[in-house]
Formats: sequence, structure tokens, C-alpha cells
Amino acid sequence: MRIERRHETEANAWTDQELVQRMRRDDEVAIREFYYRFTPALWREARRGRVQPALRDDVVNDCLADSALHLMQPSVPIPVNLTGYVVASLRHRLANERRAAKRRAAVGEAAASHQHAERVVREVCSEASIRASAGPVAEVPALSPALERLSRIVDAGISAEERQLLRWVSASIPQRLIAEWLGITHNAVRVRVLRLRDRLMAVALRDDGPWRQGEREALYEFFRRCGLPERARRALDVRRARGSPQRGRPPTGHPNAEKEDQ
Amino acid sequence: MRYDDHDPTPNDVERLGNERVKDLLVRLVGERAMQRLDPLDPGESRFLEWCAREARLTLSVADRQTLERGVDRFVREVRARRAVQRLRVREVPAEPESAPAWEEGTLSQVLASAARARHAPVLDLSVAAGAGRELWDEPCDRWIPLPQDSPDGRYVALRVTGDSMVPLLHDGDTILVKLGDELMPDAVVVARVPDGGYVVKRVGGIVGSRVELTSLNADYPPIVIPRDPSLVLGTVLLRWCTHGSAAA
Repeated sequence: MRIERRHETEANAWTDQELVQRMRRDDEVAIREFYYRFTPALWREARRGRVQPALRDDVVNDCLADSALHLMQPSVPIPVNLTGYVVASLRHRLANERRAAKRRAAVGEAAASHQHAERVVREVCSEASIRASAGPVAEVPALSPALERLSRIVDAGISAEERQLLRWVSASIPQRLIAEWLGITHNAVRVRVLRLRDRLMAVALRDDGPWRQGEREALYEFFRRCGLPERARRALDVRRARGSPQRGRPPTGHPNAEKEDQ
Repeated sequence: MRYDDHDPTPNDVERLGNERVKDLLVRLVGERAMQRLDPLDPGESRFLEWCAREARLTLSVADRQTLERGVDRFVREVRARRAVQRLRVREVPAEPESAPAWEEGTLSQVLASAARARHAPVLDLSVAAGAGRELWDEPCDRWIPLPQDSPDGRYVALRVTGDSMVPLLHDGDTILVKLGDELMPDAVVVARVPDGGYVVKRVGGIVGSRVELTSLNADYPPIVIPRDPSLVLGTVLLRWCTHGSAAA
């Protein structure tokens, strides 16, 4: 057991290229390390892809085994970005599952629209079998429709660089590391993050956004519950009453956000 | 003076409320930004590697246990499927189309005429499981047409029972066996074990006058038989398997 642990600690330090080379030589420690290295990341990805929790292990294991077998073929070039390769393979698999579920649902609907078929489908299929036929990816949306739309609108209002920074910030990557990756100082990263937060707020509170009926009200309610100050909401209400088409400003934004808007 | 001594002013409350909304927005839109990430973008490799390392380091106790429990199964599965890839037994993902035999009789009687008609007589591998029974003496009433690209020769199709060759062969699959082929390492063969009927196994190694036959399922121990051509029926070339692409 101790020897095995020592091997695994050594394996931890292998680069991705080295790992795949060893897997091709049928090294058991390398196959174990491949599993340990990528399974937790794929579990997170599966949760993000709304895989049913009970099926998570099977879906991830199948996907990882497929990737491992593909990579172990000597003729296959080793990907430069191995983590990305594994994550992409799970995403493709989930996208296929979603498409298949949609096809099945369409067939079910077509059957149900037939004169007698609806009764037959109801009688023959239990609730569990209908749920099982939906596949491993749950079809329930992750967010309420208003929040889903808010996230889409805010996402459309930010640039690719801002989106990248937002990914890193929301994954809780230390600012010092971000500074190292971007080749700028820590203080510059701090300022960029502050500006980004103000920018999100500005886009979210913009009044002339492409909102649908009732969505603005739902969002006011959401912001009120989150604790957005009364003054900021009043300012929004006044602007709304005026029917002003101008872009909203962040209620108490960072001074840099003002500069950026100009 | 300590800064946190004073009561919060309306400005403090306002600032806190704003920051809370911004935190929420970062989480909300961050999730969407993660979904829009292209994992194959080389610019994101450092980020993804960091995420994978972080996910591994911050596993919950329950997830860590699940991870530890799953590793042996994963290694077994990868190795077994790799072995299947190496075995070069072609897969047809359908049931074989069998037809009534053109000629009645035991296997040894109909073999020559079936080969002339490019058909393979079908038998259950388990019928000859009893000691002393020979596959040649079993009657067969159904034939399977040979695939177009299979070379001429004498063939027999056998229905498999048992799970010793999972994930290559499952209970109920049909295999096409070319009779009297030369024994090669890593080939899948049908052999007669002197006191245990017929088995489908992989040739693990040929050492002197002994042949080691191994199963793909690790629960079954290897079998050693004498190197005698009369004990080896033939080599498996093709399998009709409807158990999905688990072994692809």
C-alpha cells in the first residue's frame, strides 16, 4: 500500500504528455493517475451540464474511459491541452444526450397527438419510465426565466476579455495568479476586477434593455431581495417613469466605470 | 480608533447592498461565461488545468471516497476494453440472419455442403458442455450466410453462454469461427478443454507444449491445455453483438 502511494505521489508530478506516454505503455499507475487527475473536474462539469446526480458517476466514467482508450492508441496525436480535450469530450457527450432526449420527446408528442395514443402512452408508461427516457441530462432549467434572461443580457453586454476575466474571478482564482497569467501587476488586476463588477451592474440595471413584459418588475423584486439600496432603485424608477432612452449609470459605481462608459 | 466600531451609516448600507448585488451578478453571469468557454482554446489551458487541480484538492469527503472506490473498476474497464481493441474480432451490431438448413444432419455431415454454399451451421456452444459429447455429433437445423468479405473455408457459428469474455462477448452473442486456423498469440479461439467441454478464450501465451488460455473477465482464472491441434476448434473472426458500443 505504501509503495502504491509513493508511486501515486510521483505520478502527480507527471506532465500531461508524460502521463499519456506512460498510459500507452499500459502502465497501471498512469491509468490510475489519469482517473484521479480528471474525474473531479468532470464531476464539476457534469454538475454544470445538469447531469442527474444519481447518474453522474456512470456518465463521467464512461466518458473518461472512452477518452483514455482513444488517447492510448499510438497513432493518435497527444492533445496540447489535455484537460480541455477531456472536458470537451464530456460536453459533446452531454450535447448528444440532450439532442437524443429532444428527439425522443418529439416522438412522444407525435404519438400523444394521435387520437387514441395519448391514453395508451399514459397507461403504459409509468412516471419513472417517462423520466428515465429523458436520459441522464435533466431538462429542468437551472434558473428562473427572468434570471436566465438577465444572465443572457448581461453576458451579451460584455466583451470577450471581460468574459474571460469574469470566468477566472467566478472560479475564485487568486488575483496574483491572474496577474501572472496576464503579465500585468496585481494592482492592475484589482482595478480591472472592480471595473468589471461595476460594468456588470451597469449592464444589469440598464433601462433600455430588450426586456419583455413583466421581466423588469421581476428583476426589481429580485434586486430588492438581494438588498439593492432603496436610493438606487428609486433612481431607476424615476428614469423608468421619465421613459428616458439613455443608458443607465451604476448607482454608486467605481469612478473608473464612468470613464469607461464615456 | 477602530474602524468597525461605529454604527453603519446609510452610505455603508448602500455600499454593502451594491457589493452583494455585484457578487450575485458575478456568480450568475460567471456560470454562463463558463458554459460559453471553449475547452479546446489553447489560451484557456492554464485556466482549465488550474480548475482540474483545484477540483481534485477540494473534494468533499464523500466524493473522495467515491473516487477511491471507482479507481480499480476504471483501470479494469480500460484494460479489458483495450484488450478487445487489440483482439481484432470484427463486430456486427445486429442479430445474425439465420435461415433453415439446406441439408439435415449433424455438424460433421453438413459442414462440407454448408462451406460450398458459403454458409455456417449454427450451434449452441453450451450443448457440447457435457463430458464426452463432441460438437461434431450435434445436429444443426439453421445456417447463417457468411459475410461477403470472409475468405473461403469451413466455418461454424456458435452461440456463446457465460460472461468470461465480457466486454468482448456477452451471454447470447453469436460468433463466427473459422475452423482449423493456426494458433496465434492474442487470437480468440474456441478450444476443447479435456475434461470441461468447449470454451471461448484468448490465447495468452504458447510455451513449449502448453497453451495458456485467458479470459477477459478478471474473475476467471487462466486455463492451461496441451498444445494439440485437435483440441483447438478454430479462430473467432466475427461477433454478432447487440450489447451496444460498450466494447467498441
